[in-house]
Amino acid sequence: MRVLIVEDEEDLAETLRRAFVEDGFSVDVAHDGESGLFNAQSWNYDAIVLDLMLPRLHGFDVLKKVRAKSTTPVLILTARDGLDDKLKGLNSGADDYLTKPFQLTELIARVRALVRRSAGKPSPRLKLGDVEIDSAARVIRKKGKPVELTPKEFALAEFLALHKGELVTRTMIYDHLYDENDDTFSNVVDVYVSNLRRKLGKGFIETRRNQGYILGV
Amino acid sequence: MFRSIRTTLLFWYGLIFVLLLGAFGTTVYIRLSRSVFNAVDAKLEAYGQSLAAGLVEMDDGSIDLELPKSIRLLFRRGDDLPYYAVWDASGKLIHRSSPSVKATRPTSATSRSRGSAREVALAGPLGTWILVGRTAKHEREKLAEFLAACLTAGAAFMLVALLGGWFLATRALRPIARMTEAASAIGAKDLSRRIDVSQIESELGALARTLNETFDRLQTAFDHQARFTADASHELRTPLSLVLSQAELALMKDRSPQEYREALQSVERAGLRMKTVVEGLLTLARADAKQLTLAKETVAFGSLVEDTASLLGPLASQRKVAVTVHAQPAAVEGDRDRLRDAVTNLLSNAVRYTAEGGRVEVTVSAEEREAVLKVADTGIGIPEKDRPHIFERFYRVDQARSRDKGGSGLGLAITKWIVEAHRGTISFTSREGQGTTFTVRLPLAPPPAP
Repeated sequence: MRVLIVEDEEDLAETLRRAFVEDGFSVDVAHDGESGLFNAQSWNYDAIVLDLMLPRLHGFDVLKKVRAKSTTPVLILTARDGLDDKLKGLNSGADDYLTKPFQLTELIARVRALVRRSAGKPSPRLKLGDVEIDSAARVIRKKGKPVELTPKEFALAEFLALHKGELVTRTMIYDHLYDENDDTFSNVVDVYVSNLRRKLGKGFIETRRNQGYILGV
Repeated sequence: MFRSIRTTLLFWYGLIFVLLLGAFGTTVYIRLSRSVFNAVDAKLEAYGQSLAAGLVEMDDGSIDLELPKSIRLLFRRGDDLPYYAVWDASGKLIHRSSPSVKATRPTSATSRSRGSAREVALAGPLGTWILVGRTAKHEREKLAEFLAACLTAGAAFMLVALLGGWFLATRALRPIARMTEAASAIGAKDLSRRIDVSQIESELGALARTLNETFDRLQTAFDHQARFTADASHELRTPLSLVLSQAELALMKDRSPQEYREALQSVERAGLRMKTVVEGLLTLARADAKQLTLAKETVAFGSLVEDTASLLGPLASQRKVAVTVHAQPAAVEGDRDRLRDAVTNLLSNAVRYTAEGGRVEVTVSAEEREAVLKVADTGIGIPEKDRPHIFERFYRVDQARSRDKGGSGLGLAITKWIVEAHRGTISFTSREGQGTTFTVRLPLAPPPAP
């Protein structure tokens, strides 16, 4: 899953980026409102973490412009803890609001919950035959036993599970599993898919030739 | 005297009313009794004249009294009827209406009260003196009745007046009660409420408006304080969240030494920023509480500015900003460290807000009475709308752009305080996109005693 972090405090943005990456996200970072808005409008992110006091364009304005076009979940992460600010943020279309200082684990858990909810799958657990995907504990079990997966493999399985029953194109996979600094080749996805099939069972992912992949049909 | 204004008003009102009523009643009573007794006296005098007309000198030199019957009838014996007495020139009592008449010879024509009686004395013919008297019991009773009626009516008036006074006082005080109610409702919770001036009479309206103005100032101060607290907490929250999330991330699993080093460096940077903010806050808090004492020494301001500028050399060359200093010697009196802080703030601001390749010109000149420091940069300038606010605490022209350039947001507030604590002034001119010039004027130190 791919998140955009808009935070002008460079050290903090870097810390957030690392934390999200370690948790299997692909992450883009913007340090001011304008470039944050540009990123948000260029890519279809799974979630956006937005600071409010941003140079060049205030967080509220970024939020308003993002909301005019997309339903991407937005979590406001700010030092402004007044009720007025919270209300203004939520009423401008933010999906969640977290004040600084915060706990990384809470932030990431909230972002995950936002992503699940916006995909219409609020439960962190998903069962497909004998495979159980637990996105909260970040494990996949086959017949009750945890399966060893690389972060990217897990992220792919999680992404496909979020779109269970829908056709997922390769482009979608690139867009959501890689950030703007990754350069990947199309066959890398095929490698991950075949790895997942090998580890989780042949029928786990169905391929639609020249279109993409689909899970759980 | 009394704790309630209403009681005080009522007391004075009642007192004045009693005095006026008393004075009026006394006047009326005196005039009335005088006219009553004058009438009695006039009648007695007429009797006296009749008696005088009846006094005849006999051949033997004695004086006889011959009275017409109508007059004689008047002086029949009886308690309530008039009586008379006549003395001859030698002072001997020669006639009286009845033996029970006891009187001393008068020596002048007069009217007087004796006991309950009224008497008139007049000089008769042949050196005689005539005294005519009559009891005035009846008149006195009437006067007493009149007095009692007066007192009763007075008491009744008094009661009505006091009730009226109470009513008036209550009415007059009602706007005050309303104002009190409104003022006490305006607590710290709801400072936005105001006393409704339209319902208050003109004299109290001024008071109400004054109160409202005070509430306005109070609210401004409160808002200011609230905003300052929010700003301070914001300034501290951001580096604090950095420290916490760095630590949390670093502790999630085992890391390489390089990663730990980076985490600690980032924590250190955040800590240093918090230190700057906390120190600035502490300085201002002490200054506000007047707990900061400034040293009083003679400071060579020109060389202080030169030293400060040279300390900023690394920052300037890192940002590729050319700093030139032209400093004339100028001695001012004050606190060397604080003045250095002020100059450092101004110079580092100038360097920070000037783009690469820009210039910062620093001059110190000694004018007649003042040392003048000018710091001119070719930086981004200050937008018009921000100019009135730049000396406010935590005010940032661009909320976050200035933060990532370092600084606590308190520098100019502290600088202004330092300059003003040295009886100096600070001002600036700015053109957006072209640069800003700050001017500090400090009084020159008095020349050393010869």
